[in-house]
Amino acid sequence: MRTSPTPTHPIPRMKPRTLLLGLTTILGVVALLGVVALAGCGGDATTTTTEPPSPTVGEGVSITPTEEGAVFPVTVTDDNGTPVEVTARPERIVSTSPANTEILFALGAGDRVVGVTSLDDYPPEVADIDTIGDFQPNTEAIIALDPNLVVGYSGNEEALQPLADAGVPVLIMNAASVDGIYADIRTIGGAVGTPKAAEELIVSLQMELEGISNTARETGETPTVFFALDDTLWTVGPGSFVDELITLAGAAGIGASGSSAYFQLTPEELVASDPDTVLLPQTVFSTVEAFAADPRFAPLRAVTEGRVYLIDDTTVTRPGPRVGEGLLILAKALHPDAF
Amino acid sequence: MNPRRARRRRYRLLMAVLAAALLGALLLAAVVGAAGLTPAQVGRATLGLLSPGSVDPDSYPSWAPRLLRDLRLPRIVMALVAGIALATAGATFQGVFRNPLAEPYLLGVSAGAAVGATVAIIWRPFGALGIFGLPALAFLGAVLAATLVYRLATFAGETSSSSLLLSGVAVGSTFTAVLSLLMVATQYDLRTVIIWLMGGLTTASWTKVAVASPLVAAGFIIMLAYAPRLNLMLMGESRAEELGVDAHSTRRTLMIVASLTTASAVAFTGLIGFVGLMVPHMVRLLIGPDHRYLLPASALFGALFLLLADTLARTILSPAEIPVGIITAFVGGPFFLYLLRKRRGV
Amino acid sequence: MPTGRPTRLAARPPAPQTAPPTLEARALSVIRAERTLLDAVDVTVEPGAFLGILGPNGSGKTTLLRCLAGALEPSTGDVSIAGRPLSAHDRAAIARTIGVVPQTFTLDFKFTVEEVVALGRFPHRGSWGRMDAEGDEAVERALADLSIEDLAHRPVTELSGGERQRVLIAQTLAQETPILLLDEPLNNLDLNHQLEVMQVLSRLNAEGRTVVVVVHDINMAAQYCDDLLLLSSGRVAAQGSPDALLTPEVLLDVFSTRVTVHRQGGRPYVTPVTVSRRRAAAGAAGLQVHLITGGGAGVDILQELVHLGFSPSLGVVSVFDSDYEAARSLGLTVVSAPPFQPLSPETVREHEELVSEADCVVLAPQVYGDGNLADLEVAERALAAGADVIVLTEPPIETRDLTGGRAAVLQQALLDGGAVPAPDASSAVTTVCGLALHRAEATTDGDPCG
Repeated sequence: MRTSPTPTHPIPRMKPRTLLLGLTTILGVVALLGVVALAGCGGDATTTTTEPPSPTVGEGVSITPTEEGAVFPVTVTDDNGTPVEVTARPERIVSTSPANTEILFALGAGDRVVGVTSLDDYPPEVADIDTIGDFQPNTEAIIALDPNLVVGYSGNEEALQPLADAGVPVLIMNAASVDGIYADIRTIGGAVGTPKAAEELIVSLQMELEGISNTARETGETPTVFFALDDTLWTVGPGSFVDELITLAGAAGIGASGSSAYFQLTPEELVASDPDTVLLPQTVFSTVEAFAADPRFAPLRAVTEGRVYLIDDTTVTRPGPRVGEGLLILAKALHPDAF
Repeated sequence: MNPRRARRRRYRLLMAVLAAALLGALLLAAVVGAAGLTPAQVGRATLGLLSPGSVDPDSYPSWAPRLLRDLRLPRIVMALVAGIALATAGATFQGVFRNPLAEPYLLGVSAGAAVGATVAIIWRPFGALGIFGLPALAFLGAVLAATLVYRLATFAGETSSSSLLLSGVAVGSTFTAVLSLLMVATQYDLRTVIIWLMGGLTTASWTKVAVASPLVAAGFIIMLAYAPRLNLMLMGESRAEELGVDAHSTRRTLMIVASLTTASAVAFTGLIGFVGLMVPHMVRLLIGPDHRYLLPASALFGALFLLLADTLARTILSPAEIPVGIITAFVGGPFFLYLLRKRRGV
Repeated sequence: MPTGRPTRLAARPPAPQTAPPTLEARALSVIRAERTLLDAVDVTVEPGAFLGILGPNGSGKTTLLRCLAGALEPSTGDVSIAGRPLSAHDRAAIARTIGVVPQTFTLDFKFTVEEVVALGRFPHRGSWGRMDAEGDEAVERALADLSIEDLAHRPVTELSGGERQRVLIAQTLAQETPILLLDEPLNNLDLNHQLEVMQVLSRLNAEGRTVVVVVHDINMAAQYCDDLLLLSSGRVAAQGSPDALLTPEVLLDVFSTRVTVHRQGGRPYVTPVTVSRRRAAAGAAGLQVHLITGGGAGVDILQELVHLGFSPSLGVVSVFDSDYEAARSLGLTVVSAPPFQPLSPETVREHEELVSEADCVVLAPQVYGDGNLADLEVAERALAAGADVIVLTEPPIETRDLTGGRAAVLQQALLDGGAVPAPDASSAVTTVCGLALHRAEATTDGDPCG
């Protein structure tokens, strides 16, 4: 099974089939966009969602965007370990993943972002920015935007190679943990000329996370939780970003004893572990019943005692500056009385 | 002989039409794309590339020459190379098996390449193999599968067409089963695998073109050299032997060469279907079954077809890209039906 | 030629400067899946020979031809050309020397007739298959020889069976080889085209080429071939000139058919003997037939004879034999005896009387023991008295002889003395009919039935 880091976008689960799946892919992407667009709206009484996030960073986190401390030329090291030199303040930045886009905006570089993916949804300003592809960045479209900096994602290396060859600084980011987020913020901050703002953001996030984590710990409870990644019992295991958040939220993911960061449970394993809570991503499940009504899961206490929750997993699975919100969502679902 | 000359004239006409169409397609492919350049800009940027200083550099975006030279042009060439490979391999397979429904993926090449590529995708950390890891593994997978097919189909030194076909089905199914297993085992690479399976020229580069082209060119030349013998093989292997062709050796050589040519393309483009099956078929409807004309015409038509398909694939939903295999299937199918109705029979 | 079309006078190719090589098969045996297709066959095809290979179905004709062409590996023995084994030559060289016309060919692709015939030039072409003027002429001649010029530009997939056959032959002619092997080339052809083909072959042979042709039509072979090879059950039954080979005895042996042989065009002409049964029946009343049988061996013959209007008598049959029952139900005269007992003198005398009244005695293939050995002696006496005796020889006497060989000796004596052998009931009855007809013609003026 995989040990590589999570992508930031929730991926629809597909069963292996023949070439006809291509059309489904396209339809799926379109549908996904629609769902993501709707996700921000309020849900039913059974959903647990946080209040709409504030414009640039998460609730409770505020920094003053500043370009203090900017140094150019600067050499930063991306998550692939490649040293990348940025010779001057980048005026035109392209981001190929929503998480990185959020970081750029959080650091106050949002006005310099000229290209985002069609899957980007936060902050609202991204709607006006040109898109350069979806899961796969379109190299031509990126080149056409004439960027001075490309903030890419693990897997984009080949598509972004022509830009690197042409001398454009290309960073490959790959945050797989909370510390990874901090590192990415630092790297990106250095590259765009906002190192001090980056440090402030990191501190601010650390405090936010610590606050939530402490409150959760004070409840004294450590409920077990099954976090569903999709509707076929794929879940998160040790080393995954989401599992780390679950731990921080004062709970124990039942996948923590698993063999890898992402793996698939069997129904027996799920029933045997009988978690206290079940969390379902809104992007995959439209109602709690979709899971709770399944006769295989009827024996679960979480089902019989009504602790199956739909959550807006956008911020939970996206390792970006709104990680605090994500943690809060988890904490609220896991310790409803404390939050 | 009047009709013989007529046939040759028809061949020359077809080649001229195809060449003209190809030229048009090249120009079209050069000017369209996600980058949104106007044809005038493309023209000027090209001139700027060829003779710097002859055109005012401000008349086109600064990144335009680079984009044309390093992105669009290798992609265009790769489309031509892959189109040639698939179409000629398809024509050769159809001749060797005396079956107009034969296609280059018959002998396990596609399933083998798919497994190789999937292994490379899933265990990417599997290689500091870099960018060539995937094509190399895909090629190896294809070769392995084809070798297995051939070995399994040979009894006591004899390899009959029917046992080859059956062996191809058996090995293909087995490899596909392995592929399915790999796909089930991964969640987050599934998309990448599926997109590769449907074929695409997104990551074409000059390096890749440089590797694929000589292989495909060599394959094409060899297959063309065997064209007269292939004509005789159409009458059955025993008749071909009576007329002086070493049928066994011819068949073996052609299958190896056609499989390797296909693998060379597929390693870099994924599984683009339909081209190898339909292009030779369509050409045969137009100019007849003589391989000396069929192979070159198929090559040209295949190149044209794939170039147009790829251009469509990368512009229709820009900046998103549709896998080329979907376009080839959607476009080729109805076209072939139309051709069949016009001239019944093959 | 009966087509009414003017013959093309294209320049003929010069006859081969050197004589074609000798093609020789030695001790050729082909065994496939435990079936022996050819058994120790020796054939020498001299340069310039015109050899016809004949034989019943399954006798190995096609197998032999394929071995001679080098298309089939014999199990033992070898085929050599000009003294060197065929396997020592490469395909292309063989294709320039030996041209083969197989029984059929498949081609599901829309080549035109002319293109297909042109494929026959492959052994002479350059590697790119470019046709030179010589090749073009060869193709033209081949098309003309087979009268398929009109079809030249038709797709071969649209042709009838006969037309395809002629295209195939034309293709091989275009190959212009010194040796030609043809496997039943006249199949599917109308009579005029059959003649056309044979005349072309004849002409090519006259130019010095070796022609070996497998034909079904004996008379066609007799007319055109200088030598004939008769195969039977994978072995060479006979070999020689048509005059030597085409005799009733040989043909009866190989084809199990009675024939008469006339002469036509200076060559033998074979006609199978078919006696009009109706006409024979007219003479049936005049011919008295006696059937010596027992143990059910004569039931078939009896029924046929009766059906044709004969009223044969039977003897000596045991009352438990089915022959007895059959005869009784048909109301025929039977000399019978109780089983497993030596014949009483009365019975013997009765039998002898009956036999002496018969014009024709038929000996059914019964099993001979001491008890009925006398039947053979009776037959011998009838023969000596001038009656026609017909002896059923199958199953072989050896398998029916429980007398330690005495029956076999007696039967042989009968045959040596002029008795007619018959392999089965049908041919025996035919012979009887022949006799009846003969008698009817002899005793009346002309043909009783017209």
